[in-house]
Amino acid sequence: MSTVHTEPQQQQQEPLDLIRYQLDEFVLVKLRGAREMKGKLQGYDSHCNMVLSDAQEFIFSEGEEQPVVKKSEMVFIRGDSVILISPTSE
Amino acid sequence: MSFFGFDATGPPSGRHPDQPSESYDFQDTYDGLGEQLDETDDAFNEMTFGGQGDIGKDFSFGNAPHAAQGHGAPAKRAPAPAPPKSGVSYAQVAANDDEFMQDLWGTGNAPNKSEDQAAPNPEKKIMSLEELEAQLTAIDQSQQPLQFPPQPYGMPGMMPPPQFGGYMMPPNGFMPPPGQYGQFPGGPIPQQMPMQPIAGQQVPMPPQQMQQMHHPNIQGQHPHQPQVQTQPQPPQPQQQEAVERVALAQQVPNHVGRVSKADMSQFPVLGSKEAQKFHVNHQPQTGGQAVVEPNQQQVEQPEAHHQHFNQHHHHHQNQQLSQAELSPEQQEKLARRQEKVARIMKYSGIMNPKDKDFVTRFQLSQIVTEDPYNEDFYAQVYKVIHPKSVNNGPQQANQQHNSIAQAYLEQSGHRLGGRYKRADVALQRMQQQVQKAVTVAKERPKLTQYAREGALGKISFGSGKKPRQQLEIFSKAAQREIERKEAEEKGSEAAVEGSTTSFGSLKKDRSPSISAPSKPSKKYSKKDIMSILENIISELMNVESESRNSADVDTTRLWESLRVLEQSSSSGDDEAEVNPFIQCLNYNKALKILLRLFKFLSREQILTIVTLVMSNLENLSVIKNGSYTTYESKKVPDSVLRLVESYSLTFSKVLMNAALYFKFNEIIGLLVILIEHNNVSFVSTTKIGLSILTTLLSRAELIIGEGTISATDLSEWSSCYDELFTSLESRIAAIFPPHPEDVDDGSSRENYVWQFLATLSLGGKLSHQRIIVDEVRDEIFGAMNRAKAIDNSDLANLYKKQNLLNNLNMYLVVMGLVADENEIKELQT
Repeated sequence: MSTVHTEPQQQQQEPLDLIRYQLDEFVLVKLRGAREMKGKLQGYDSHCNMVLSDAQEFIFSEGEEQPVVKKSEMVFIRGDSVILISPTSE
Repeated sequence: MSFFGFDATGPPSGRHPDQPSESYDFQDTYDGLGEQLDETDDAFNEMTFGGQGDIGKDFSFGNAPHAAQGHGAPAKRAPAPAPPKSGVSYAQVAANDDEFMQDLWGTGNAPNKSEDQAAPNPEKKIMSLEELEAQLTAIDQSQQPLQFPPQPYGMPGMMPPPQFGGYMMPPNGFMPPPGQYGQFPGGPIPQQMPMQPIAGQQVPMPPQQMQQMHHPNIQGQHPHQPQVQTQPQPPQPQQQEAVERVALAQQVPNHVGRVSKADMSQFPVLGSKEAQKFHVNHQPQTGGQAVVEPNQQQVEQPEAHHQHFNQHHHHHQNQQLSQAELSPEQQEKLARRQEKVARIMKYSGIMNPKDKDFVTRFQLSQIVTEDPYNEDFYAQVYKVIHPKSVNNGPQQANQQHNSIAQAYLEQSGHRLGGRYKRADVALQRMQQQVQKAVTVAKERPKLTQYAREGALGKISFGSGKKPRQQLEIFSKAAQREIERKEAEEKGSEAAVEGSTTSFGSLKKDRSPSISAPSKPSKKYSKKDIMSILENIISELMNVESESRNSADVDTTRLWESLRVLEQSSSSGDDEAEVNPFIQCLNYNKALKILLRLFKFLSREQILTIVTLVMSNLENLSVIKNGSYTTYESKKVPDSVLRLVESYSLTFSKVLMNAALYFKFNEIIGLLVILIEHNNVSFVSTTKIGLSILTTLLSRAELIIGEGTISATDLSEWSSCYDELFTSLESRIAAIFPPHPEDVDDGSSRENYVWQFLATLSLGGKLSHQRIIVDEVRDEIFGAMNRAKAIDNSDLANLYKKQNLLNNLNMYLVVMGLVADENEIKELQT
């Protein structure tokens, strides 16, 4: 499956490459404060600061089944609140 | 009670049991009945048989009257050989073999001695219990051990002991397997007992005398005993040695006292001799009387218990008395020695003969080597200690290349069969067995291991010099991994070779055979593709930044990063195995860089890419998912539509640009590839597929229009077109998406269909055009009706009407027609 590791031209991979591969793709970002964001990854840096476009923010709170959803066309996420980043379908 | 040599059927011969004078083979002498006897109630023999005088005649020792003397029952019951039978340990038996061993290993006297021993046989063997007991008592009194001839050998039953001893001598000091001997209750063991008494008493005493003496003796001796022992007290060790010699009889002069310890280093005798020594030492100490350890007796011959009891009793008293006379350190010494002996004797008889036989053979087979004198530790030691016997011994001289085991066997063979003509069948058989084992061991494969079918691992052999290894288990997974890697390397090499050919041959390569790749295909995960894609992007950015500084840019790394040639694939292949560049084209960001990318690629490279795309059209998600026919709602989902939008903005544009530089035959080639590798009617139902077809067709028309095309090219083209048309025929109407109202909003979204129709009609002959018109007539009138439905006064939607008509006319014009909202007229030129 992951034949990429045997590719001769493959450069050394680093953890942030996983984020790099998701550029221009939709990602799910889990955040502190029971929040998640879905959006198209436009950019990131080494602090995991990220810019998402077509983003949806999901705010979970106790006692409420459905999270509050906020949409924003373009959003900046500060890296220190990022818990995880994962590829996702739109 | 059946015992050795007793012939119950024979005529009573006085008071002696019938013992033939000639030697017996073990095989012959033992009928196995002895083992089956139930002797637990032997004590009642007296009651059963006591009243009958006849029996008493047969067993001269067992007259009923003697019972009155206190232990008459046992005495009567136990015939002469019986007591010895019970009381002899293997070690004792082995002791008798000392002479043979000395003979065997280098001292010369044995033959004479054995002859001497043979002489007195007849008389000795006819000893009654009374005689024996008399001898027993006489030992203490006479104390003249050294002069006694080794009579025990004369006893018919004495033969086994030497043999037995022979087995005690395996060169490596194993405990010998007594072989079959142990199975003869009346055999070798009993004779030991008489032998030692005999040592002390040369002349047999009349039975009667013996009988009378018997009991008194035991007690009467006690006073004597201490004296005897204490008399030479200063040199007590020597005295002990003397007694020892008596007991051993064969202990040749050169074995003097402690010096004999040196003999123990004669490795063949190692184990056995030591045992003998202790035993021998023990016996003299406890009164110089050849009373056998009760313990052993009990272990080996329980039926002789009564006899033992007497002896034990005697022994015990004796010991107590003598101990009183000994100095404390002597007592201590004595105690220690006894303890040692007890320890040694404790386990004697635990293994049955078969066990020992097995162990011996096993051990022998293990030490067999090609070069025994170099590899066998014991042989080395023996050679050092006894260089003579290795080099001088006439037999051994011939055995330089034999195993030590065989040397041993030959020795014993000579001794028993050859020299003394006392061949023992059982022993020889044993010998043969061992020899066989040795041969088998030698012939065993030299491999130390081999894999057996169905085995979990490899089976390893052990030998004396190379101990057995653990199972060696190889991981199948590891092997498979290696094989897989090798196959992959070969596969990718072949792929590169096949793909780097020029376009001409590439065209041929794109034959249907390609769709069935013979090699195992690589699979790409999404992460792989993303990684490749990011790689492409970064390479592209490098090239771009380089190109700003210099006109000449090396784009090979960029080209390699595209992986266009990495894996050939064609439409319908498994999604994960499709060429990575084609997979990249499913992502928006790849499309975004296409324009920039193509700027840096050579014409050949672009052609290669386009060829790849043509053969993989149905692998593009915009084609695969872009056809309304695959959806039940006949509607393409939004996500695909967005991607289709991107395609038409990027890829179609790039292709259009690239097609400008394609030669006529290249375009024909691309079309042929497209037709061969894809279902054209399916591709035509997608917007991108249709626009690609349109691009190629229109480019071809333009080139034809230039008029510079050769006749052969033209004919090639017409055949290609026919092929394309055939695949589309009867399905042309399907290129119109359903729900035309949705796309019919005046935008240019639907015009690609009319464009295609126009292009297709342009390239075809009149017959083609008629077929097309016939098939799409409904669509033409439908478009006209929709245009008509839009009222001219509806200015907001007027442009839609115009658009519809424009699109329709774009197609109709090709055929020299024009349409308005009401009718189709011939185009006025």
